[in-house]
Amino acid sequence: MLCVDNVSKSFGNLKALDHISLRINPGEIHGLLGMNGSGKSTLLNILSGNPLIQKTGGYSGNMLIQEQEYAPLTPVCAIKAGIGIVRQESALIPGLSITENIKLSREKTVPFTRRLLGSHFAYIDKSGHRADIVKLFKHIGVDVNPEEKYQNLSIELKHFVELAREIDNPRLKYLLLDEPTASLNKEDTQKLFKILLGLSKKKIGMLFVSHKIEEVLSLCQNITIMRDGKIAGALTSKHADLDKVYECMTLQKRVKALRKTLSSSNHPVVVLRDFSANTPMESIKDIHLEIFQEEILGVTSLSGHGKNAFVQGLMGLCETKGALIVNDRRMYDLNPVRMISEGVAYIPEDRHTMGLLLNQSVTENIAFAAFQSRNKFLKKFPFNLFRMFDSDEARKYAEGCIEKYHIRCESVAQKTATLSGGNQQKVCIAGAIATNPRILIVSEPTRGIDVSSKEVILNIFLDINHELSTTIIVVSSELDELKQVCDRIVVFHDGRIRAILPPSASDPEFAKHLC
Amino acid sequence: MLTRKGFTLPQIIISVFIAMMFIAAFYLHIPINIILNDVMVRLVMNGVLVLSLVPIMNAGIGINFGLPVAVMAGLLGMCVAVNFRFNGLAGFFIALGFSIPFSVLFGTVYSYGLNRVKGREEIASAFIGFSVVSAMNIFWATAPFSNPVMLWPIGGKGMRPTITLEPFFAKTLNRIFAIHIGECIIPAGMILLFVVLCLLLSIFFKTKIGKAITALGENEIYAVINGISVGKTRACAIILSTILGGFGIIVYAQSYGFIELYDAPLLVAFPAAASILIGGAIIKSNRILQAIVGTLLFQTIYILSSPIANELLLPESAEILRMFIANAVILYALTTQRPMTR
Amino acid sequence: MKRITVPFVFVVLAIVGWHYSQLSLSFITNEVLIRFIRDGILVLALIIPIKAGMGLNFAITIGAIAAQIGWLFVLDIQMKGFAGIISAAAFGCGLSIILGWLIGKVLNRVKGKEMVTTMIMGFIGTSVYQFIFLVGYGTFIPSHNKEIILSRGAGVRSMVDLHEYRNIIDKYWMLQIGSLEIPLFMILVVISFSILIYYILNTRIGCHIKAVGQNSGKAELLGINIDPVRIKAVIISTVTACLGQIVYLQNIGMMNVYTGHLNSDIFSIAALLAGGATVKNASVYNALIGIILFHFLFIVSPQAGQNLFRNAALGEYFRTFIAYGTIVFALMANIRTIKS
Repeated sequence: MLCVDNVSKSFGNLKALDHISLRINPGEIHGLLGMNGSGKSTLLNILSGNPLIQKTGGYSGNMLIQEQEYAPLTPVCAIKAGIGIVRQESALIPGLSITENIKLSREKTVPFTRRLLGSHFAYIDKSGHRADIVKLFKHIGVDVNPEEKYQNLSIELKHFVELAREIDNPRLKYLLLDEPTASLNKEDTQKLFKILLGLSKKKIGMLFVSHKIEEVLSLCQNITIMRDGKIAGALTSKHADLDKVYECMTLQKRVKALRKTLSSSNHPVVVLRDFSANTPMESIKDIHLEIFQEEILGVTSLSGHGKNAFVQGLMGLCETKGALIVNDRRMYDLNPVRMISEGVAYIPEDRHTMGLLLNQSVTENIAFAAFQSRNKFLKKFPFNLFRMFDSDEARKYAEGCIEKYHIRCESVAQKTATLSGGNQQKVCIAGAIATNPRILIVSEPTRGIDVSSKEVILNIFLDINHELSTTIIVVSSELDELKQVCDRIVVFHDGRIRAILPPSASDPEFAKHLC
Repeated sequence: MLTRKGFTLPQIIISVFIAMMFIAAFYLHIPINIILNDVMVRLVMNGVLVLSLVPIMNAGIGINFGLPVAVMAGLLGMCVAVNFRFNGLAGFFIALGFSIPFSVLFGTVYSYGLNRVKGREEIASAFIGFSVVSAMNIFWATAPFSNPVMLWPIGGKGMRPTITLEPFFAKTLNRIFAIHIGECIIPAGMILLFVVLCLLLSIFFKTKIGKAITALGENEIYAVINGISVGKTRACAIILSTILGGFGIIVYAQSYGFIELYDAPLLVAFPAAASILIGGAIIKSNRILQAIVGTLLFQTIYILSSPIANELLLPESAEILRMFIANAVILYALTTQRPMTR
Repeated sequence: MKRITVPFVFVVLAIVGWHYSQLSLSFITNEVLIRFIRDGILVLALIIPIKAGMGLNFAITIGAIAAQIGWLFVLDIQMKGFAGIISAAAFGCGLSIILGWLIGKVLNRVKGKEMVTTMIMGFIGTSVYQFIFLVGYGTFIPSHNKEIILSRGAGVRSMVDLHEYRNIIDKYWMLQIGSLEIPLFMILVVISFSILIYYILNTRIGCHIKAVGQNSGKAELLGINIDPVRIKAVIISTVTACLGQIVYLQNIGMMNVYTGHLNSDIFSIAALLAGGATVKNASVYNALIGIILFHFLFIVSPQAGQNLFRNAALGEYFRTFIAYGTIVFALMANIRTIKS
């Protein structure tokens, strides 16, 4: 049996897992459900010995496999203990062939070379590998040339090869599956289920993580539901149904800041037509959308389903196709410089690494974008010819900002690296607002911020929309905050717009479109 | 200057080293006032070259091992000035002036090259530097200069590897405004020029483009998000570095008294890089200060190591020792740098 | 397409150079064969670090230095003949394993900047080596052979004679076809090393090296311990470079003690790149083809320069420029350009 007992993990101040306990019996298919940010990926990373966990401070709690203590610090430990994992993003090496990938770190060698030269310099038994792979693929029901390079395979085949790699491990005891059916059609999904049921008969336990609730209900005997890093419920599939599950997964929060007047303009300030964007992690395809003047538009999706690609595509930070029209001007050759000259400002999700100059003062950070793109804070004649920075004017402005936005710092000269997370966010936001943007794009505005600061920040957005007539696009995975401030909420699924809902729509309705 | 927790390892090593050398110098009766004069002259002589590394480092491109590109521009400027027989202090400034168009041209092409090797700028700059030196060898061997002082005596075609600046502007900067205090000569004119250059560079980094360069070097994705054009900003930093490098070799040559062509510029980048890296170990904040302090320390080591090596060890070993120190400093910096965010 | 362009350029330059040099094909072939033997193994040493994702290994200079120390040791104890060659090789290889391990340790601390770091380490190695043998030999390294000491009583002479070892293996099985002299034994030695490198790439460690070179993050998640794999790759490279330099010096018959190893890295790397290798991928074929192409150009350039421009030096500058330029070109390939 695989036992997880009171496992907790924090990333800095953010508690990702809070006393998680769960049990998987040999041969059991155990489902794991939860919204974005509920902690599923972190749990999988801990179970599979991902080095990221140790690099960020390790975890607390105990794990046991078959009564033996299991504390994997590296993937090698996990593999030795019999834990396999099939991840959402392909984990195999593109430039190597299927056979090389499957047999990596488990290579078979020609015996006499092994005796002669040691296991490292023993010659690879290529025909032995080939025979194994052919047998394996026949067993799974997959037909592909084992010498084909992994990067040339379709996404569905890639998933099957990853699965094949884990199955090929003779020591496999428990298999973790992260969104295994995300890119599979019905036929392949059935194939996959057949394979998993076969594994179950061999007494291999499985942890099946998915957003497809119906699939989890049909395949898994036991289901655990996570929410905000805690266990929100543990059900058996016999006693579970869709509604109960939705209720467990989502949560209503008390709302304080609230959109008062809904925007009534129907002049589109941003138009997307047949717009596609491709980032390494996700992509969006053929988007049609109109964003109206002075509206506050929310955008949400599950992770990997397009909200990040949407933001990056809008700002020209990744490859894009199709038409983007801003202020009635078609954006050919889309890039951040052009968008900024159109009056767009962008507040990125990862403000700590992308939104601040940590070694510089609060003043410098707040004044930077406005100085560079709007020539604000220029020294007077004749120095303005050399485009010199007026630090006095900037300082006064920054002092105004710390008053207005309640930024807690010793002085405007303090280096932003020493501010707390919430105050860093506010500095970043103040910097974007200093450019008097016509359009403000914000990604995850309240991520990593304490509760009281969340309300302050949401109110800031409402204020600038009201006072400066700024159109705001808020991209977030926190449904409640979007409901608080937005006029409309766009839901992406699998790279396309699934629905545009009003903030008054119910949570289950959102969940339906998200998953 | 010092960290709140006490001295860092590099600071300790450098301080101990310098102290040891001063003690050794004292022991061997090497006169202090000559050392002081040497230090001041060498500070400026090498300092401008080290200063030229600052814009490229600030832009986040790393160590400019391609300094030979800038040196070529400076050499061309000097050759043109010498060819038309400009001399005296005016000749020196005219050489500086002539080097600028070459620097801008070379710098633009160089920036095009560096923008094509994102992620490998340091190694690529080293080899761009080496290739430019070897390409220029072909030029020097066939150059259309007319002043016979620059050409081979026999045959008359092809430049000499070393051209003496005696009749032109050798040491003119060193001597101008020189202040004599007892036995010690302070080259005030030289120091003044250096101070002016440092101040100008400092003011540059307070302008819009200067701040853009600094932001690019500190956090590239932040700069991109805030509308800074990466290619153009890097090009600006690279061209500025090239202009300063051109000035640097001219200041160096006039102080040394010779223009050195052919393979001489090959290794000029390494001592300069070591200087700024030593400075970086002591001063964390301002790169210009790092350049000044680093050059001071590095040149002091140079000056003191020569006589000591000659006395205690063997003459040729001084040069080997210096190369070792320079490269060891660079290696230390490479292995202790935190990975840059790209 | 970049894999074909570089060798193509070299072929064109070689043909043009040959035409202007007016040297006979048989002369050139003999010279190319000699250099094939001399430099072959050195070029092969570069392949495994490239496969391991560490780029161009400029620190093969240190392997070459180990070989020279091996030769100095053998000269010091005055071991002659074949035994001398083997001892030099053994000593050098032992030293190379230790130095290779050190280099690997340092490179594991500078992931992403391996190429610059190996270049600097090569310089440091040179400085330390020169210092030790200039100052230490005869003083704290006891000298048993007064003939190789400088006249002042300490330090090795700048040039030492290896001609006693010269005609031992390099003339084995010499095949004469008309005016062509083909030293079969040595060619076979080089070919054997090529097969050896190919073999290593198909062993367990070879698989791991290739995986780490392709994507070290993913390889780690798949259960490969990255750091030891990289260290092993560097050790193999350094030992191979050492053996390459042993063969090189044996073939030349004399050693420039302080400068013999310099430029071994640049020319070997340029040769490998000339054969179509890139910073991210290299094969044994790249090495073998590259040496021939590169050295062909190397041989014809001075004479071509003399005939075209009345200046043999131009030809030499040109070939140095080609070597450096090839490396720059290779560094520029395969990277996304920054748009202005």
